[in-house]
Amino acid sequence: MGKKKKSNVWMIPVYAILIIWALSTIYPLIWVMLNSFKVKNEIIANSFSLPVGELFTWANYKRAFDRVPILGAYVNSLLVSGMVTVVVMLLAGLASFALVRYNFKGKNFLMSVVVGSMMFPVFATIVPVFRMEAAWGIVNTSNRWLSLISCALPQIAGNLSFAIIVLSGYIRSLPVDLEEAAYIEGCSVPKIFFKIVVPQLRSPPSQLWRSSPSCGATTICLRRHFSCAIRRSGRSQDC
Amino acid sequence: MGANIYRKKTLLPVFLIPAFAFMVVFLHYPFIVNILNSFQEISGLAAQSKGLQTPWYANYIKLFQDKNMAIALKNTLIMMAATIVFQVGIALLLAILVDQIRFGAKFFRVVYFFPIVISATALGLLFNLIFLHDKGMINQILEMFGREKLIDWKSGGLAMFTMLLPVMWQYVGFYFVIIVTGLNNISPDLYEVSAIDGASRWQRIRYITLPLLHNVLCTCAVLAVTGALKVFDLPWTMFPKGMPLNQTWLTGTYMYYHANETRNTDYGCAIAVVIVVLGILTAKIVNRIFKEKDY
Repeated sequence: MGKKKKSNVWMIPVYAILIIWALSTIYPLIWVMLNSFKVKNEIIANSFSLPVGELFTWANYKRAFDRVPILGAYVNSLLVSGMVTVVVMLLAGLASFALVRYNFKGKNFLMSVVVGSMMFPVFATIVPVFRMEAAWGIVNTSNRWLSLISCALPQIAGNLSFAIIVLSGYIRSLPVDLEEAAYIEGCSVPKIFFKIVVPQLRSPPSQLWRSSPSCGATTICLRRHFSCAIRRSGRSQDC
Repeated sequence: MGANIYRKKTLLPVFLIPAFAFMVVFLHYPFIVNILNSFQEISGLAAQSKGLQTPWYANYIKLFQDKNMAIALKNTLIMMAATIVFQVGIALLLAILVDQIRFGAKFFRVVYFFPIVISATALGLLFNLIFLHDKGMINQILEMFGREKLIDWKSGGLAMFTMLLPVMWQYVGFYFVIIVTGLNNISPDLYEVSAIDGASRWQRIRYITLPLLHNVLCTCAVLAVTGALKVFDLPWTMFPKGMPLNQTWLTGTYMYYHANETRNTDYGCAIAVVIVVLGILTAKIVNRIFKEKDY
């Protein structure tokens, strides 16, 4: 960038706008966090004061842990998003590797299938998926692992297309030379994938984490029990 | 590409089949089943079909006559326009501004991403508190500024605004990150050359940054439009069941409502078909408007 030293005045409105937006993303969280330490009446009476002294209370947290297995909900969320991320990364990595490096008939067709799959809203497929999984007997069972898997499977399918698009962009930018060198040294193709390609992909998979919090939508549809932990604080809900 | 090592294709199926099998089983097959289901009579998510509708396209006739469906479509179209204008627009503005500064760029990048990382259901509750009629955050601020009467943010005229605002706010960070990546790919040489030629800051943005961002913005627009069709969790936690008075239905929430709550699963399927058709159509239109260019 140009080295302009006199344009510091210009920076003031720029920073002002940036900071205002940053406040809008931070402040709501702080507001809620502060109010979580107050009893209900105090929130209504003065929600902007800091929860110190008389105002401060742990009661809300106590109630959250007493009434709802909130830790269990955290563990479930972690397990589901962990499963989704690992499987999506592996399968999407393999598929985009093949789509980028190999030349074969129907390659363009497969690529457009991937792009087209991004169009499916979860809610368009959720009903048949639920019925399918109900037929397999993996939803609404008392087995926790089956339930978790039933929740993760459609998530994986839903995130695959986006992951393939992102990853194939990255793989395309990697030099083929490295892989060829490894091949001459006697490396097999699967080994090339895991030892040469995957280590170079360190940054994009971390971005895929971000898609996992969107589990919420599917979770509501598939497993109402998971979501009621979060929902309860909002309205009285019978779950 | 076409390197010698990739001539032998024995392993190709091993690479491709798992991913595509997943998509076929959990996306494409359910969608076809969905189309078939929309012609049948099904009451309840896991219930058996009771045979074909009479006439078999009855659900689609119902779609055209359903006032709530018209509202849902209208709201979804508003949502699409708003996502392109506000989400992508604000993200573009913020990204260009962050590109100009030297201190704190990283901080802003992290902070702007906050809302996306948080589950939309939790955000819905948060915004419920913020927009609460009695002593919500905004009404309290207004009170401090001396406003006597409380505003009911979820009443008729304001409901759409109250629903759109959190959705807009949440996803700005997503497009922000995409655009910032695009900005980083622009070579600094170009700016240097233009600076030597005497281009002002504004001219540099207008004639270098924006044209070079064209393809990135095109991707953003497609993502925004398809994203708008999928919006569900935030509106559903804030405005369940199209409250107030069926004004805030979106295609996603309306479909969920019929599939799960009213036991009209077949009708929900028909709405789902409409959603996907609408998604493919709008994505095509957006692609045509913002044609990708090569430089």
